[in-house]
Amino acid sequence: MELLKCEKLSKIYGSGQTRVTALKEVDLSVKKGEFVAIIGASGSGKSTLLHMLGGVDRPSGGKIWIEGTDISTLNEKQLSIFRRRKVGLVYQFYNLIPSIDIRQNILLPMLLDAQKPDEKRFEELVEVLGLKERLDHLPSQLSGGQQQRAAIARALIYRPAILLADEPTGNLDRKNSEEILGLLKLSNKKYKQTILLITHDERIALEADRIIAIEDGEILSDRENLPREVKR
Amino acid sequence: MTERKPEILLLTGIFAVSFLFCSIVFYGNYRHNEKIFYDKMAVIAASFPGEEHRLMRVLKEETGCDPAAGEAILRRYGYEGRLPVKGQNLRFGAGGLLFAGICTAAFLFYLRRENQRSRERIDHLTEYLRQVEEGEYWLSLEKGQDSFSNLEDEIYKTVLALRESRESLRREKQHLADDLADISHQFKTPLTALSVLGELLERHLFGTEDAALVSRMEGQIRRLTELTAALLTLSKADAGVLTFEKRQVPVSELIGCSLEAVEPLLEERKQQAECAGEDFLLCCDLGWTREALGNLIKNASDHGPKQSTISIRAWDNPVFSGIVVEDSGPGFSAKDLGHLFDRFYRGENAAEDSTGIGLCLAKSLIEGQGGEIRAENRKEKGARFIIKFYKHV
Repeated sequence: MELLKCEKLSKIYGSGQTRVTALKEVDLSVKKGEFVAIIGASGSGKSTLLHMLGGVDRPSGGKIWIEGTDISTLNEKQLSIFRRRKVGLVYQFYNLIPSIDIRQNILLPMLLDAQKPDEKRFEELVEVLGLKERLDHLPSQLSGGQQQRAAIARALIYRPAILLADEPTGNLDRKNSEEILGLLKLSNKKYKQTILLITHDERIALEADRIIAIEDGEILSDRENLPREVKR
Repeated sequence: MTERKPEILLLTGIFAVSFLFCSIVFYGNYRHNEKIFYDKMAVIAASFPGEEHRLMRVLKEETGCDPAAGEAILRRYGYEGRLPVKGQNLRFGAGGLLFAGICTAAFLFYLRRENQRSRERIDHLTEYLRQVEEGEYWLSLEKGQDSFSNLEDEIYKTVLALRESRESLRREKQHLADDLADISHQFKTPLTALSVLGELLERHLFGTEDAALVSRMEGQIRRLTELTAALLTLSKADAGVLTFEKRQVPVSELIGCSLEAVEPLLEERKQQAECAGEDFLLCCDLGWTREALGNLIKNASDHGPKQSTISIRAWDNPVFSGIVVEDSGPGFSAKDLGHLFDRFYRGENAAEDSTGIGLCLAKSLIEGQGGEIRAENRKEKGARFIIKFYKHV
């Protein structure tokens, strides 16, 4: 099932002399349950693409469909509801709210929507993510790896259509990176969670099922991740 | 929209009743005031006998008198713009107010209850669909006469269809598994007979040439037997009917068992296996995982040079456990890499008696348990297989 599709997606920042084209007519399609890595150097347009797909920023041209909804037609209010329910976002810096405990942080998207949290799913999620003992702690009392897990839990609590992860291991050491990546793969397997992972690190991209290389706002290559030569 | 009809009827009814009630109250009030005015006029008329023509003129015609002068006189007697309210009117007003209050309260209560009931039903449906999503297809939706019953009915039908198709899929899989078991059983009997016959034949032969032929035949029969068993396992795994009995196994035991099975191979090629890493408990099916890992080690042995070392390393973290098998052979060619795990694919440097099914079987066995398997070339030449078992799958 096609979950995400974009057609001739482009983004232009500024105008006249300072005009910068961050994305040039990108076509992309992602199926449900796919784990896709988008790899590119900084400034290649990968974060811009992610922000378009997540409804954080609006495209200058082209269309994006997520679960059949053209998100460029949504107004601000609809877009914020769409973001809350359909998109899970995980960033390099965990963006947890420092003044509330981990439980509240994870449940935040549901609380914002005045939804009753699904207790069973919550219990299972914190168990899988190894956060059970940390629920009453404040974010500042947790290690980087644990904070990132909480951010992943928050992104997954609503069972979003798509999880967008922007350099999720960028701020972590090797051991924690391996675990966080493992958790993303686990949620991909266990919940058939569709994941779009953005990275500049080829080693991380190799964990995905499909690798899309992006350069200067254009898709350079799009291939299934078959085993190949890697340097370690 | 037929289910909205009762609500519209109800609202219309409430409106009609209120309108009727207001009309009655208004009419009663009007008649009451009329009577008071009439009685007062009668008293006034009786109080001024002989003056009635003046009185009637005041009542019926414009006299040009200033009402302010009259108001001043009235004010002197304590009448300030309003007439005094008498007990009966007060009671009547209070009664009406009370009645209206009760009606409003009853109506609000009714609305609230309806609202609450719909919310309960929505919660119930949400919870139900959540469970269906998680694969629990119970079919005991409570039936109601309200506007949700149609929706519930539709959902019920869809879930029923889903369950039906899921069950038929399961039946088909079971069918396939049974067929496979039958076929493999049918194969086994003649294969066993063939190998026995081969042995008998060997005893009756004296010429070395003939004996060599028979020995080659026996080799082929053995290969066919192994292939049959492997194919059966593979087909079962692919059909999803292979049962994995997962339990906690020390990873050292798993590696030991796997090595045991390929020991003769390693000995023949004078290779050594070197185990490194931690020992920890791995949750897997020992039998099948041993077979999978054995196939990987066998592959490493086939492609590693004679007298080389095969390295097996295990590590563990809270998310997954991993096992790596490495050899120091030439590694995979670029062409092979994409097809390593394909069924019957034989690589460029495949061993002569390779059936091209070992790696494919290993993949099915690992993935069937929720794990994953990957192959890559080592930087320092050689091939590397990585197995990962995720916890919490």
